Amino acid sequence: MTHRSAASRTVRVDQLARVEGEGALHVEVVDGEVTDVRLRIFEPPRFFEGFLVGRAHTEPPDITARICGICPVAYQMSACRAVEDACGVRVGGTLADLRRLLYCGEWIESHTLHVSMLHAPDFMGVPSAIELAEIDRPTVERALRLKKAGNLVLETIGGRAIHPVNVRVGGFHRLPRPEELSSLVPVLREALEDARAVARWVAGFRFPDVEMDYRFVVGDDPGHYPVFGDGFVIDGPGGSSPTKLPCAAFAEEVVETHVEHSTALHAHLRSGDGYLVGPLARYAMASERLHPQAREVAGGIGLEPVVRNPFRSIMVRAVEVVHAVATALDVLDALVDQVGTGPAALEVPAPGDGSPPVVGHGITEAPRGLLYHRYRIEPGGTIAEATIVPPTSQNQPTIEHDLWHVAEDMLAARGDALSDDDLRHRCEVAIRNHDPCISCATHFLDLTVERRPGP
Amino acid sequence: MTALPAGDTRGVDRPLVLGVGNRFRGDDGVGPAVLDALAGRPAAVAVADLRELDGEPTRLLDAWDGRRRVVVVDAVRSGTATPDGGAGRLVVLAGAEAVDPERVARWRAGVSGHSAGLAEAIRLATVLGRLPDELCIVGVEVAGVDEGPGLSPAVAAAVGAAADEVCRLAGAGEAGPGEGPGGQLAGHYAAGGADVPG
Repeated sequence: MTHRSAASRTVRVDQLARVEGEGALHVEVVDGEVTDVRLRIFEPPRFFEGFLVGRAHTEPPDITARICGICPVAYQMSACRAVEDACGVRVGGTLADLRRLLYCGEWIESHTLHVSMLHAPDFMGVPSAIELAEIDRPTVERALRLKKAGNLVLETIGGRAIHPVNVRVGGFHRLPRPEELSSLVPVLREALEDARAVARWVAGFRFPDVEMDYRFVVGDDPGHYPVFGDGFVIDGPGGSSPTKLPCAAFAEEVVETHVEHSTALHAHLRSGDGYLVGPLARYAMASERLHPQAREVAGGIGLEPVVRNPFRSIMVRAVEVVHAVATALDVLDALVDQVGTGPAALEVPAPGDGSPPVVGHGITEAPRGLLYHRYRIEPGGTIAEATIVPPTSQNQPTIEHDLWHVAEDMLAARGDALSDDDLRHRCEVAIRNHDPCISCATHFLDLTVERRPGP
Repeated sequence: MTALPAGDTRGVDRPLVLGVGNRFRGDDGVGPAVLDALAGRPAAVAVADLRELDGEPTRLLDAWDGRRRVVVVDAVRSGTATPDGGAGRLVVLAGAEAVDPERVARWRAGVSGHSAGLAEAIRLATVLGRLPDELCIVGVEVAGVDEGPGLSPAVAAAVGAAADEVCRLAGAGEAGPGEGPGGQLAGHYAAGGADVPG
């Protein structure tokens, strides 16, 4: 529905395409000025937090994997690490390497879906990947091949199912056989070439000139480009030094508040600042720890050391895919000779009867950013309390801030000549910049742009 | 067609049944529930492969790659079901109707956690030449897709009939392999399914 008059109009889209999930956006323009931006998210994973209470401490990986069809591994990994943390178990060695390999598969699959199929159409001027396939079939076929390579890693390590069924607290139900691991190598070698080609492709897109003043938050994965978080790191304000904190401090540092327009909780730092998790944060805070082949690609496509233009996040995701493929190949190289020599999982005993309840925290880097789980476990292994903070709910205030900025920029540049369609499209792209996985938080995204005359 | 991964025991000649949906979203779990019912039928397991999916289009393409005959079981919300009726109604599409994205455009609308689903998969597969030779769709009209496991009574009651339909289309039913897709039955149900906005 569109009312046209220069100062007073309403634009509405019933369903925002090409995001994982559903939600609503409302932009209000009064007398040529942006006066309100509200991104509404309908369904936080609060159902799952309630559903987990009373369950056994071994169940969170299977149950929380159901929250998101796109990043089930992230949910499994944060769940496992939180339960293991509570029970005083640390999974290392081969099992940790296998987890990293599995996670690489998810990054490859999820990022490739977003980069080539969901976000690239914005820059190619087509409505969706279907039209992209019509004008550039090899590009879409390359994306599907790359995505499938990620999926093959997921199925080989995680087990073939809609949600990886082979993951359990303490490790895996079954270790992959060496020949299963070897079979991934040629597929990933081809994927590495595809990933490089995708990065070169997206680097050729034209990006709006935008610079945002983000505070970044990432998992602290010593020695690695962050995937697992032994703790987390908060970017210092105004270029001051970052702060490293243990996972247990997350709930103190990050404050979740209810906002009127959304059933989801909005996350802020204790200082009241919004912050950003995800590819831009990881890259800004840890680009020196990218796999050398990914660093080389990042340099080759002209990626600056800290990317503050959210539209260029597609380039960072493409570099992260190169990183994930190259890392997977390295891990495989190291693993092929070792797998099968140890247990498939460590014992993760719950506190015994008469012991006090235990609390554990888990942080890992979902493709979209830091995913935090916390569990309180009673003696005997019953879950008494569960908290899940997904990346999209953390990014939501920052996405709103981006939208505000983008809308103001466009209005300032083009005023009443700016068409509703152009404004709406730019807002949609600004949302897709952050690949909001709304399925872990929500439903349909209605987009409303309302323009009203001033008083 | 892409070759199947090494060690894959699936055969291109075996029909593939894809149960699409989310078991934790109320009636959206009907696709997986039909798979569960089929898994308990030796005649179905003997002739067809069963697989659960979330409906993300590229996963559908990957899943049916190289298959000749594919039956998709999915939740439908046509907007015609009311709290008193309509839920559990079967909509069966076969032949040209099943690969007409306009015909299935509203499938999973409001059901999936994704804004894309089967219709997008059909469109994309058409452009890329990756449609199966024979695609059949068995839809079950849903009542509610709120978070949480378990089907509504009307949809739960339709699972058996949906499984019968899938067996017939996959060539595992009493009608035998001779009466496959595009037969009279499919036409009958397609007519009955005209309520689904296309």
